Amino acid sequence: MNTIETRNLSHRYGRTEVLHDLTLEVPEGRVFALLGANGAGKTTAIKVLMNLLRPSAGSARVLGVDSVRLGPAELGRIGYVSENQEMPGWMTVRGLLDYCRPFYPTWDRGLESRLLREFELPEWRRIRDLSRGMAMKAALLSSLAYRPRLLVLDEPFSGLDALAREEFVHGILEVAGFGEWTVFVSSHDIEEVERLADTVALLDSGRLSFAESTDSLLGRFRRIEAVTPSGDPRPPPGMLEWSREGARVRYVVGDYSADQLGRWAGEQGPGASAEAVPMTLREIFIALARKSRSRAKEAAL
Amino acid sequence: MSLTLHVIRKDARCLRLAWALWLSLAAAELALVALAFNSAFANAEAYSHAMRAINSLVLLWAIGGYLLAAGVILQDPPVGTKAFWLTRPISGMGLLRSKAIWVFAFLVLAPALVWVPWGVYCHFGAAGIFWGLVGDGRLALLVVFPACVIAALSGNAPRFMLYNVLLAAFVAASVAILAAAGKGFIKIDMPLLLLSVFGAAAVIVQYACRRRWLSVGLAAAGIALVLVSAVLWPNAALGRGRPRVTGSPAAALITAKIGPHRLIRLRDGRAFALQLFIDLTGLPADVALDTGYADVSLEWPDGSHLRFDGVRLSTRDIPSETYSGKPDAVAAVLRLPRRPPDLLDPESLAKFRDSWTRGQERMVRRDPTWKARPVPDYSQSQPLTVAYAAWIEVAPEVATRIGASPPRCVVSMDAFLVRPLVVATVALGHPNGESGDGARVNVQSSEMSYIPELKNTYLDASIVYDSAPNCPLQSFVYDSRGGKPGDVWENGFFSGTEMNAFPRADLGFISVHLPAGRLWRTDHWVEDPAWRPSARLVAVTLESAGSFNRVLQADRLVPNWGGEP
Repeated sequence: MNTIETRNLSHRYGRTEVLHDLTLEVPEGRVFALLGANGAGKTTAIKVLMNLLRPSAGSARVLGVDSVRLGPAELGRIGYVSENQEMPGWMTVRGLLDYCRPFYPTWDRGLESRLLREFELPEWRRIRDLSRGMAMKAALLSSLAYRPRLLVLDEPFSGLDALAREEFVHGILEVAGFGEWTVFVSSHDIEEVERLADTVALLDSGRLSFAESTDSLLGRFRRIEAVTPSGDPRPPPGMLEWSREGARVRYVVGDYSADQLGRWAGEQGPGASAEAVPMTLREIFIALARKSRSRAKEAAL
Repeated sequence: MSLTLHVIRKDARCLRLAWALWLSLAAAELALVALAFNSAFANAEAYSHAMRAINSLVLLWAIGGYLLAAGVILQDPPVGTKAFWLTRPISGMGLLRSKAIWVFAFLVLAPALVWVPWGVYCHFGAAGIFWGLVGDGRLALLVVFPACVIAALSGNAPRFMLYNVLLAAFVAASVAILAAAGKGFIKIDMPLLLLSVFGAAAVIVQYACRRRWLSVGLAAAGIALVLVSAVLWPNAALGRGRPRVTGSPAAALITAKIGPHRLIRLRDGRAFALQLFIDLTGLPADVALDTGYADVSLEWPDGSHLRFDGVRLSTRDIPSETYSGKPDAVAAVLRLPRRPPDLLDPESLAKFRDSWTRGQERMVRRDPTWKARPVPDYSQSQPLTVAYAAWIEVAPEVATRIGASPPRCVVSMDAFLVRPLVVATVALGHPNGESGDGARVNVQSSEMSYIPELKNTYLDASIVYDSAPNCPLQSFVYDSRGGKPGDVWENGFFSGTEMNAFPRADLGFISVHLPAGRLWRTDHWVEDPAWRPSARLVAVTLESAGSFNRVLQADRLVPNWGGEP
């Protein structure tokens, strides 16, 4: 069963379309990361999913309910943490938890206490007096303690220092380990996402580039480092980031297979060799972003 | 419901300090009123300062209530995508319910309840206190409701302030437009009703489906409709909202006719207004006239006609020297002030004319620019009670046409009767107070404030008074009784409410002149032989005594041309 489904989802701000024909599925129990550069449409997509914005076209279903019909029953099973959310700054951390608790019949006081301890949140300090990292952790706590079936995180790592990120990720991983909970996280912070996500999707200028499991993605992308002593090496079709320094050639392929690489190296003449280096999610993201930018420049020309 | 109360508690916790401070303004106002009523201020000037302080407190209270109402809405704004509540399991309508209850309980009911002990202390009675609560609540609602609507549509503080500036500009523009359209008199009920309905609809739509432009559109449509209706609707629409009172047996005794003085006013040499006088006779002795309305139609022989609906009828002067009802006040005295000289015999009439002429000459001597006014055309044929005047503003061309070709005039009038009632009788001579029958009156001082050189034979009495909403005080009457029971010498002092303390609109302070009990004789003071040491002040209210309607006709208006009003 899918926790989130979108079909040709689009959203416009006036004449500007920031989300175009987004179709994706987030199966239950996954940690799904929506990646994309600033302005790619990630936050808009999440706002549409959370019924904060209405879709201009298409539809989205969250927990089996049309997103525009999300009501208290569904919101009671969804946790939402966003860098854009306005927290009640006058409340203390304890006050925030006390305020949120009655809204959720499934609130787990034991989990609340444990997370409060682990996050080392000062209970009696006002939210407005907390550091950004602490405030985000407080928001996360208030969204975890009722064991939501879906946790939606919109740019949760923005502005957090390394330690705060570590603790934040730790908290999310802990949730993910609790059971059939689904985490939907949008970010441009790829290192953290890489540790979290088992499925990633890339949004590029409002369009979905791909959505697949992290293992599959890391498995099909390789940086090829080749030596072609003779002749003029020919780039393979579909490669990214082609560069050449004398006999050394480097490029990225998005559909790596050892056989294909062997064939390509053979085509480059005698003495040619090629090595496939695994890539991090960050490197894949950058390669795709550069490709997208150069495509946009070509289109503009 | 528990979640509703939970949100209410949250808002109460958040705004408790501001709210307590705000409520303390109402309490401070009450304290000042109580001090004023209990001789804590030494003289009239001190009372005057106290009343000004009360009015300032009330202004602060109104501003504070406005901001608090906006504050509670902006805690969880229904506009935008960032509010905390939007992703929490509470519906928009559930949140609206919480906010509405909070606003009503904390900003409407609570400040009204502050005044309940005062009502008890003043013996206003259960009905008086209840209607006081309703009145205060309604006034508080007038303050907080617009703030709630604007806050619900703006979503954040800067935009809230911007919308307020726009609203202020709109109100100023509306007043100017209405003035330009010649709408001097507009019943406020209909615009308020329209604004309330559209404002509430906008808020409900915003909370229910968060479609801001739809909500703003609804509110703007309401405002536009108010303006359009005020400018374009016929006066008949305004007239329909006039108050109706059941008929009174006294009304059968009254005869009414259009009086002989039909005046066309001039300004800068051009006619601009028609004034009709309506004469009433047979008014029962214990009844006085209140306001009235009339539909006036002017018809010319060629079939053309003009109609003015909902024209307000006003008494030229409200009878003030009237009271009745207390056990020993056997006689109700109803006198029209500025008694026309047709009551007088020819000799008195001649004296009046002579006195008028000499008075005008004196004014001219004092001020050469003064234009002497001719003696009013009073005559013995003039009816006793020239009671109502109807002012109709018309285009100069219309007024000129009326003058050139006098039309037939048909007036369909509704008039309202009131009966003066004594609600408190306070002995003079030393600080004293009286409460009961819905009013509390305290005479704080009756002091000699005259300047000997001016040979002033009056005392100034400082009176503080309050009355239940259904018992507004209309006048204070100086009552000094003779030796025979039932004899009353009255010396009327119309009060009105000089100092209106919002929201207790009936609270007032007034300083009245009283006979001093001494007279100046050439070079020394002597005791006034008519002075009664047992003089009292009688506070009078007017209760509704029914209404009457008539259709009056004048076959031909015969206008007199008048000068500057």
